[in-house]
Amino acid sequence: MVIGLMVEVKSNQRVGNDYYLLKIRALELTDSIFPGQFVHLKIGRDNLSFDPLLRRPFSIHDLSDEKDIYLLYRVVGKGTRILTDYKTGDKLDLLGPLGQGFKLDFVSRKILIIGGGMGIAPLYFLAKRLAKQNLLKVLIGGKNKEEMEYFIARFRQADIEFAVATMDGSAGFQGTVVDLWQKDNTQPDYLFACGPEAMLREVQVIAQKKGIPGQVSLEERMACGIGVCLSCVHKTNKGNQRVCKEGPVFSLEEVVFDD
Amino acid sequence: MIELDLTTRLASLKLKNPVITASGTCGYGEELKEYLDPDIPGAITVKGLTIKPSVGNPAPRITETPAGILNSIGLENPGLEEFLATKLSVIGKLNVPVLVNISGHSLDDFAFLAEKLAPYPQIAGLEVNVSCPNLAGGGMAFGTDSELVYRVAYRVKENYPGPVIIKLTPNVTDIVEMAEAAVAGGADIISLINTLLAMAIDIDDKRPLLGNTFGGLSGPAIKPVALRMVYQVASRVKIPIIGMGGIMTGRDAIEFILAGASAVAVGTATLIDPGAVARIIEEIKEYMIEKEIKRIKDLIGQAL
Repeated sequence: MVIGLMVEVKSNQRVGNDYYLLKIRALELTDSIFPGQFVHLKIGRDNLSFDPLLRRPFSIHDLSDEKDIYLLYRVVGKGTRILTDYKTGDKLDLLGPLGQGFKLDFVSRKILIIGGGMGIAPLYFLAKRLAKQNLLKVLIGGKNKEEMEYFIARFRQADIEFAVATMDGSAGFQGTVVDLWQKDNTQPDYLFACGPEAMLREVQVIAQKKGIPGQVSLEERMACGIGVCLSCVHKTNKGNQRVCKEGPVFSLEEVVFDD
Repeated sequence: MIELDLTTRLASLKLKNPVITASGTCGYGEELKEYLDPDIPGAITVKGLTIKPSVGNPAPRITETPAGILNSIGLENPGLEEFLATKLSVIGKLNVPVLVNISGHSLDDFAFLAEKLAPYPQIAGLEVNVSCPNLAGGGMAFGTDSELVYRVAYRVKENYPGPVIIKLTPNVTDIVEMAEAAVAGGADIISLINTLLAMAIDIDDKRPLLGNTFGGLSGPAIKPVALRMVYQVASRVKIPIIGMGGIMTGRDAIEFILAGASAVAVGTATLIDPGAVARIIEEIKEYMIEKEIKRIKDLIGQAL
């Protein structure tokens, strides 16, 4: 039970044009965190701040050697804008780790990871875990070089084999990350993906055709984060499933994407 | 140190404290147990039930507005059959009164649900939702017509032996008229308010933000409206009231009790702080100690 845990901000810096990297100390949680899980933060000086009112979910981006948690975020609204004001030593009300992470209990030697935009954030944590089991390739994509620079640096630093796609061609392959996969012709026997729904839908179609099993992490607008409000449900072949509770990671085969 | 008496009565229901979990914000009680001991609330109101299973509305189903949230979940629920098969045993294990919230598309739907739920002692009472803004062809339509409010109350009472709560919508011109219709139909208790019909627009997409276009506004933004309506109804109606709408703290709860509510329900607060109900009960106690009030019952309607 991890309610109302007040955690300390270790650092909160702008990394690249688009992203901020928040490092928090929450040693009570770190041993039970799996890639793909998320934490739910109450942002605002007062814990009962009414504006923003709801918590904000953030996927776990990485764990430091000292077991601090890294969250990567982009300023997209009021909550994330206020979050940029947090300084070292400030406290944040955290609920987590929440949701089901990536399941790593499978036998595979050729794993492919495909990430688009902000969806790359949790995949970095996953890739670091998987890298220890070898044979891995990561494909990442975004709008342009500026958006991808941070990730390029991180994957390079971690010595993980990766390739980049950008829509404008300013870094790596010009096109989507799915186009890159098609051209690259990597033949994995298992895959992980996270990114915009349009990308995941394409990944699912191709994987189905080639008979490749895998897992995807989904994003939906969320309120409670603990499975009571049913705001974040997504269609699956077993009916609606809660992204916050049964997810955010689902098997690639079970998710139903609307056209 | 004075001994505090938090017990309250809602018709034949005795609650150990006046704080109830609001429907749709606590699942079937067990979903919250990691964060809130299910023995703590005065009562638990489970997720709205319809006869047939409902998949709810398309995404996005939620968005935040200043000091409020706008939802269009659309009463996603497993339906009566599945509820009886799997959820009844779950709520049977709870040690506090469990209220089942029911919704329908017709008078017959409400009567049918009432009749089917009547045999189960695990259920302490029914909360009749005549006010959901997210149910096409039903829900709020009933709650905005006093003749229909009367008939829904009457038909449910006719088919259900236990306490019947009519949950009113705020989306009406005269809330007292609706409350009086519920009383005339035989309601034992009135709960109010449900969410306010509202919307948000995405100015980048130039489209309504919610998949269902409209949704229900809840949270601190609606508290003054809810409080006013509880006050108006309490001034005119004799049956007990469950007050709700944006209660985030014990002080908010006290306001509703002073306005005439015999109990309060907490919803949106739980979505942010899953232990909110326990915290609010503690805050009510702090207020009582500070003001040297022994019995919460003594506060009911004091501001009227």
